[in-house]
Amino acid sequence: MMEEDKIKSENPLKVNRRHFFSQLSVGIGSLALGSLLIPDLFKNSAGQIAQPTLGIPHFAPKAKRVIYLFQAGAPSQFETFDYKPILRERMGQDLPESIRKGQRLTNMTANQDKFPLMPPKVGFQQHGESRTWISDFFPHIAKIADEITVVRSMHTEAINHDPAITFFQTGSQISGRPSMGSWLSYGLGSENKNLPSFVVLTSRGKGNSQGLYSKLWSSGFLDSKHQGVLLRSGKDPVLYLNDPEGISRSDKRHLLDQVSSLNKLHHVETGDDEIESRIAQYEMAYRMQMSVPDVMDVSKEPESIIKLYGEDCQVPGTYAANALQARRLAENGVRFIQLYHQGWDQHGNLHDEMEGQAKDVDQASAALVMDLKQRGMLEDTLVIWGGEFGRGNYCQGKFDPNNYGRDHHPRAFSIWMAGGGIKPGLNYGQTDEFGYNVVENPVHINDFHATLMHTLGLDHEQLTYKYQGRRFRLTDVAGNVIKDLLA
Amino acid sequence: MIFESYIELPALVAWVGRWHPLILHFPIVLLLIGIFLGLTGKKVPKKLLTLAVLTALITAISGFFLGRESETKGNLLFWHQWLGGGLALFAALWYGLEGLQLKKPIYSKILQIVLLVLILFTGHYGGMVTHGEDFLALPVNKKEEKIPENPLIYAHVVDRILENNCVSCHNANKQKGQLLMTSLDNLLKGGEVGNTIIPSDAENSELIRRLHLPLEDEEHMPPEGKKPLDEREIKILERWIALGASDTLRLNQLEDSEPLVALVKGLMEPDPMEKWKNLPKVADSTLQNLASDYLTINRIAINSDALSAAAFLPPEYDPQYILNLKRVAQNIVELDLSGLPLGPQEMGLVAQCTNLEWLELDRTPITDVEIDTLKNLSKLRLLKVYDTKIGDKGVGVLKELQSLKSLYLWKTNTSQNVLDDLKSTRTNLIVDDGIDDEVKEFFIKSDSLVEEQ
Amino acid sequence: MVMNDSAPRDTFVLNRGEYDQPTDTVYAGTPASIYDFPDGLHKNRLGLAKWVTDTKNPLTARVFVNRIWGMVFGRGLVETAEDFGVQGSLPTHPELLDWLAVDFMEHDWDIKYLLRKIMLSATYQQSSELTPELKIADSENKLLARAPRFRMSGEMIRDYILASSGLLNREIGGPSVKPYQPAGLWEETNAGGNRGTLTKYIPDEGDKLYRRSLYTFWKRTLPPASMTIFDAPTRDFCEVRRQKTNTPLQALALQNDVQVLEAARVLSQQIVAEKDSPKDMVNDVFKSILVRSPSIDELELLESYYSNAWEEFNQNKENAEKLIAQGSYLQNESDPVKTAALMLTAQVIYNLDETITKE
Repeated sequence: MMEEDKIKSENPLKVNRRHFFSQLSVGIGSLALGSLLIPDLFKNSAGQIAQPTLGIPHFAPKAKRVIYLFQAGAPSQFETFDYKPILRERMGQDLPESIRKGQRLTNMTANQDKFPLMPPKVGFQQHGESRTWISDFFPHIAKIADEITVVRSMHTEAINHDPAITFFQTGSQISGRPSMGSWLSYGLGSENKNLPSFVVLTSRGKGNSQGLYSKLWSSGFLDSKHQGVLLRSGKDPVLYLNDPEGISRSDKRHLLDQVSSLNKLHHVETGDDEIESRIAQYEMAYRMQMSVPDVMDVSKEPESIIKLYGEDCQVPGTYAANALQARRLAENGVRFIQLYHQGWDQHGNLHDEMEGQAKDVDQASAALVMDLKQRGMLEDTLVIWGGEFGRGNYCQGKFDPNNYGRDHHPRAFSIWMAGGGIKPGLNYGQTDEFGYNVVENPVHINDFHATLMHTLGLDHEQLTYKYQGRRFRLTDVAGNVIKDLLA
Repeated sequence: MIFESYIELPALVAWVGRWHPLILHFPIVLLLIGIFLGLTGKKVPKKLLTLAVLTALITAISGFFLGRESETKGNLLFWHQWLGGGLALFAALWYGLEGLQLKKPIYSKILQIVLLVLILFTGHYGGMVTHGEDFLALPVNKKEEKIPENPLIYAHVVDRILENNCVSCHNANKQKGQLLMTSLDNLLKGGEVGNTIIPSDAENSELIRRLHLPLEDEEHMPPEGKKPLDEREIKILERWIALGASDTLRLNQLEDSEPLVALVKGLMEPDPMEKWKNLPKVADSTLQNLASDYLTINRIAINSDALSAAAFLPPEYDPQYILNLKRVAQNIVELDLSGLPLGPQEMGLVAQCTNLEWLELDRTPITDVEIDTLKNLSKLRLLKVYDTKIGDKGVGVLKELQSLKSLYLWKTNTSQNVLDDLKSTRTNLIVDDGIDDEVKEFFIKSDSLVEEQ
Repeated sequence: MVMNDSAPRDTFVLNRGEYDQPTDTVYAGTPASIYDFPDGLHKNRLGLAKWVTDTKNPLTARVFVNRIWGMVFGRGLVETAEDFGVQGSLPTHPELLDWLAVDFMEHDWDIKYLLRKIMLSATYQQSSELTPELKIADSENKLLARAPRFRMSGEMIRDYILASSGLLNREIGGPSVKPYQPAGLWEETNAGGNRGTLTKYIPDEGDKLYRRSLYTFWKRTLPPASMTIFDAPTRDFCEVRRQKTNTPLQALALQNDVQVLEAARVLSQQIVAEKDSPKDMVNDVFKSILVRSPSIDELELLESYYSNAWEEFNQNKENAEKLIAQGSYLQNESDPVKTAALMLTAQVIYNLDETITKE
């Protein structure tokens, strides 16, 4: 037995199919035997076999909805929330190999033979009673330090944008799985039937950007009614929402009445109930034509709120406008509001670009949290701020303190969360002194998903969908709820 | 290492023993068929009997080997072995009797009945050995005793965790690894590995070490297949050992900053679902009838009769869709009526929802008069009335709601001194009356977005 | 270079999928459980093609005829058209599947022949009326005692609208085209700056707007919205059976997509030029779109709708002119009030369940 183990540990793949199945048959046999001996082997950890029903949480939820402020392109943790003074002390020196440990690199830095450490040009202060380190790029977020929980120990496996964002949004680096919002729409149903349960808002800063893809809000193999609806800043917030010129609202009503009575005639003839549901969908579309523009109309917001989010929130398509929009959508019962702000991919000219990006998002993000709080919505709305991975602590390319950039880094990065059953004012997880590896309380993307679902009353192991012969989950075969983050 | 204790037994013998739980099913079934045939007056086929007796003997022998593996034999195992041995013996006797072709079938019938009794008892004891003594007992509702207000950490908390997770294998009958976990003395004595717990040294305590091993590890406890302890249970054991593993320690003797306090309190906290257990039953069809395009009503969670309802503003407002909720008023624990042109009728409905814990009435035309209808909502935990006309009088009513933990009063007609008074008299109530002025000022002054343009 | 099979590169099993940790070398092969790879064939793509199309291969012909059947009937004889394995469903009519497969191979894998065979069958030519008895006996219509009813795919719907209005450009082949798409979609999600031809969506002009949907340009990161709304796959993964959802976004697209509005306008203009009486006009529109004559009830409803709309537009001619400005197709000089009223009538018909349903 020892022999065989040794062979296997040397080459775990030296198992052909026949061998695999021969092992499997022993496995199945002993499994059956095992279940004879241990009656609760096939029960779940709660000791009972719960029958999950869709549209209802598995247990009483803390959060009812999520606003995800996604910073696409991956903001550097060294210029945001992970303060590492050693980088200044050892500026320009090579990153010790004992820290880097042969880390896989993108082809942008893979040919570099030196990894000179680079400190942030921006200052850091501790804020609030929680003494949270926040860089001077974010004076407004600093004001809500005690409302947020900063997680500095996020880590992922992907090193490039596309797989990394796809991983964050769908739980898999390879596209094709349903996105987070779709899973929630599938698991929880909609709160307000007159609006989509999963919406997407995009904006772009001046920094180096990566494109977005509709697969990020696709429903994958779930029913396509769960797919994210891209809300746009123009006059057609939902595609094809507006009637053509020359048609009045009453014309439209007549037209729909006509369609519906003809459909009903046909229903009598064919007996197909699908026609009835088509009539219902046309009515819903008609209601959306009124409810969506109403929700999107920020002109009703008082001056004080406009000031809070920043004057820019009146300019459609900006991050500030989207943040304000997000609050309005949350108020109206949208389950999952996904914002994307592009432009955080600082391979070069990092300081100046990040300053601009931070200005785009700092005030509006903080304003959103405060605005939700004064409305009591922070109690059941989870806000998340973060990118798809972190950035390296060394300089990309030639060492130049005046104009430096950072390459992608998956092993450690920072995000923050607020509200929705997450402990406020917590500093969770730690990186080593160079900020390169996680040394305390690591949070993997799967763990993040499991925790997020937990706040919404969903057991990530129970919310499944059977597709191509097996049951899929957002967390697939991994993920643990990080209980320490929960209030 | 784990096999050390078996060393005196040849490995092959031990291996044969392991087959006992599998083989034992054959003689049971075969003998039962034989007995059935015999008792109903049919002829028992020779081949069947041969096979039955043969497997009975093999089972007895393999059982004997398996029994050798455990050093301490409890009462259960003792009886199982003797009964099993007897069973094999009687089976052989039957075989011999059949060979003699006795004329009087009464002997073999007696023998068959004895065998039947033996099978029942041997099987029963065997079941208890593998699955625990109460495995075959009638299902009794194991209602866990409530942890008292100021519990003894060992007797009320630790012992309960051990009882639920460990004692089924480490009791006087089974005593796996020579470890008894039924009393503190036995725990301190340890098992064959020793140092099960080392007071004040959780890290080196065998118990804690094994709990933390990866699930796949042979030495992980509880072993594969049994429910592992949850994080809180492990942490409680850890802290208790770290604090000296005392059996006199009580919760109130601990400082508030001690993690054990929060852990034990968490364990004592009633399951949120528990408090809704006695709500009237609601049928799914009722919910479907109540729900409409502008009213979402759902169970708080699966298998719960507590309901959460949210109403939205239809183009033409008619309060009927809200008033219909009267049918399930007792069940509603969360109600969102924000932004609706509420009148006295709707507020009348709210007053009937006496189990309400969460109520949103913000951005509605309600005033102090309507607030008065809330005074019977004794379970109300959260109330949103921001952006309404309620004033100091209304706050006076709310002040009396003892369960209230969060109150949102931003943009109301309340005066500062009344709010200050509320905050000072109800210290466990969080009153939110909008963003702090200083912070607001900071946001207006340093509008980073304007600077940019 | 792509087509060169002579020097296949070595392929490895990667340790836990890490690209820089190759382990064992692996070689191409086919599952022996389906059909042994004949010794005489080379292990290259020609060999694979021959193996796939070998008459002894039990799967290929069955899978293919099942897919064609699925396209025609909305559901294959094996419902899980993508999965003939143990996780798939069993055929509802196994003998028919076998016969069709063999017949297909015997006729030289002729798809046209196969289609004709299926469509000339009595089963295909049944009515889709659902009687109460049938509803009880076989509500899912697995036994095909009636013709199925199912919503057409996004591509079919668009082609159908173009064809019924006479706009369809039947040209075959050539590069992809860019038909109407709501403005700004590409610009909002790309990475900013100039990123080549995919930065901005510039719709084509003239004939190219009316080509079959098969030729619509497909940007992988943002497929055409009018298609995805009707469940076109994202092409991120293989999808053999499309979903057939029924959503409010589909209702909006059919009501307000320029492609549909333009078709309604062009169709109305043609008919207004030809016919005089409202009854004839409505009858013609109905027939052009639904390829059947309206019932008396239907005709009555539509006619009164047309006259109401005519009244409305007659009082507000400006609206009529605004409405008929839809689309870039050549404007036909016709009475704007009549055209607008008839255009709305056409819109009503385009939005009927029957129009987008194959029955």
